[in-house]
Amino acid sequence: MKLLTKTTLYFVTVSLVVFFAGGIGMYKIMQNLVEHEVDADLYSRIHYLFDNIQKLDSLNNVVFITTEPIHIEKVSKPATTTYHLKDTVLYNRDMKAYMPYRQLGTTIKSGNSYYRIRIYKSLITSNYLIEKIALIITLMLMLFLIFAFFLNRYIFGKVWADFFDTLHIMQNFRLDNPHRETFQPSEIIEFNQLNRELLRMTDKIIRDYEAVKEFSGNLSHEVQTPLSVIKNKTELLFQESLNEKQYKLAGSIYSATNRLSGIIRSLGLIARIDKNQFADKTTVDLKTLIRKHTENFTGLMASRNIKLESQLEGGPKVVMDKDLADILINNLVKNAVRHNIENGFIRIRLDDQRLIIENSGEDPGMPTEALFEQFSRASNQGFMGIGLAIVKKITDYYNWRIRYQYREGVHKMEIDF
Amino acid sequence: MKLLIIEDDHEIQDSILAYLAPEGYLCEQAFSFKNALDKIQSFDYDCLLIDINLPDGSGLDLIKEAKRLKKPSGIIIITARDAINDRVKALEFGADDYLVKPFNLAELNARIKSLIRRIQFQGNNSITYGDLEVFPDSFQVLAKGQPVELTKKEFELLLFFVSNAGRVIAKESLAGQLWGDDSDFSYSFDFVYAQIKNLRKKLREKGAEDYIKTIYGVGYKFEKE
Repeated sequence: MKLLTKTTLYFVTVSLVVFFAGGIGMYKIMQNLVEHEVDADLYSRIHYLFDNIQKLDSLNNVVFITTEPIHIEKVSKPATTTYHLKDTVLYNRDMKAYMPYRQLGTTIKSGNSYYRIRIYKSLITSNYLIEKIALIITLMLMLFLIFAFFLNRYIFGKVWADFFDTLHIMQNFRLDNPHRETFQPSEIIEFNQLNRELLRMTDKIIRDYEAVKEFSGNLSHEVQTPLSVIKNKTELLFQESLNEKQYKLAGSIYSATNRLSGIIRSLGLIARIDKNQFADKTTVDLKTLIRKHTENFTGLMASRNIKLESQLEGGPKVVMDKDLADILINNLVKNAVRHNIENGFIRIRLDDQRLIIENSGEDPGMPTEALFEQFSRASNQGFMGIGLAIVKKITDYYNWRIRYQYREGVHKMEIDF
Repeated sequence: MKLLIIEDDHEIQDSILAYLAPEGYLCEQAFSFKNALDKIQSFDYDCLLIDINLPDGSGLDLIKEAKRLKKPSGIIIITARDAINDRVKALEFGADDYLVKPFNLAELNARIKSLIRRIQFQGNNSITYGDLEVFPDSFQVLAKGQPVELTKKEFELLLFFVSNAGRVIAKESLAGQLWGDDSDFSYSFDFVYAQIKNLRKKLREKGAEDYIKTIYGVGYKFEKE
């Protein structure tokens, strides 16, 4: 969730709750006020009525000047004289419907008789008033909410602008092409602190990265001579008349030395790609290159009865270092041959945009993405990661997208140029 | 046959010398640029083996010097893997072949032999070993006078065996011979084994003796009884 979405969501939720509660509260208060007003009016009217009755001494002589309904009926003597207030409905002839009224009832003595008097006040006007006011309040709250929503966005944009600048800079940060980032100073202290920390960290990362690059470069260079010595001396040892056990020991030393030499060589290659030492730009004919490398492996494929189907259509104009192109295709084809099964297949498809290599094979037993890491090791296929790490390094170097999937016995490698 | 080995590391020098000794070459050693320059200027060699990376100079200049003096030597250079530019330059300056460190001695031996053959016979040559006659330039093999049909890989293997006759060759060297350098050959050993099996079969069918012996745990040895 985006920062803006998140804050807006909080803002809207809280506003809605507050506005809703506030709205209801205001409505209630207003209702109360109006009710008081109505009741006071009723009381004043009934008192006025009493006064008249008292003065005239007879209910019969009371002149009822009233727009509101009034009910008077004769009753037997009540226990006490009390006022009753309640809401009710009366049939309104004009409107031809039952309408809400506030009723005040009491019993009064006139002469020797007792009368129950009920006076009414229509609530239509006051209800109407409440409704309208409530509507106005709601509308105003809505308007305020909309205004606040946009204001929030505006302020957000202003306040976080520097943060997004920083984010943008960090997104474009490339370890393989590092340079010291320049952050714009911000008015906001925290962002300046963030920038300072990022600068400190990137500086350290770049320094460490350079050191590691330097180290692996030097390592792969410096160990070549001692490795050569071990290798050559072992070969010389082979020429001595050894017994079977000694041959086996010497053979193991030789194999291990070769493996070590291969690892060092691959690390050296990766270090050289990192150091931009493959600057050659040739328009590479991938078709020819793929044919060359698949041909090189024909024997090996035939010996394991692996079927090769290649569809080489079109030819993407791939401009790259020709040595890297060779290494890339060799690694891909080799990988497909190597991690294959008896009676398997290899399918190579090349069109103008992409190269797809599929091959049958066993489950690598780990997420395919991890196989791009330098020293990953698939469950039972031994050391393999470095070949793919080189492939990944090369595709990254040229900003090509590479995907690797394993599904139902098929490894699929896809490169978009 | 006179060889000059230019390499600053004594251990490597000694190894090369020891491996080449049975070939009966006259090998001289130079451990520095200056030393090598003196020798190239003063004597004629059939083959110069030059390590490009010398402590007191570049092997590239030795190639230039040899060419300037119009020395008839074949030149094989040894370079570090990442020195692709050196390699290209060396070949431009007139080097005949190159090896990448760390190389194996069987390969070095085969390269030297191939170079010497090219210089001496200008292509029209064959190597005879026992019942076999191998023609490196036309990819042909005669076994007891009869032509043998070999695949390219089988031929390469046979030539490598013949060049290193009498030596124990690691299966890694053979695999490397077939595929170039590789970090891990283990997946292709079965194939090497299959190729050798085919090769043996084809040669035996023509009545040639089987010279390929398996050395358990290491590889093979190509040798007459």
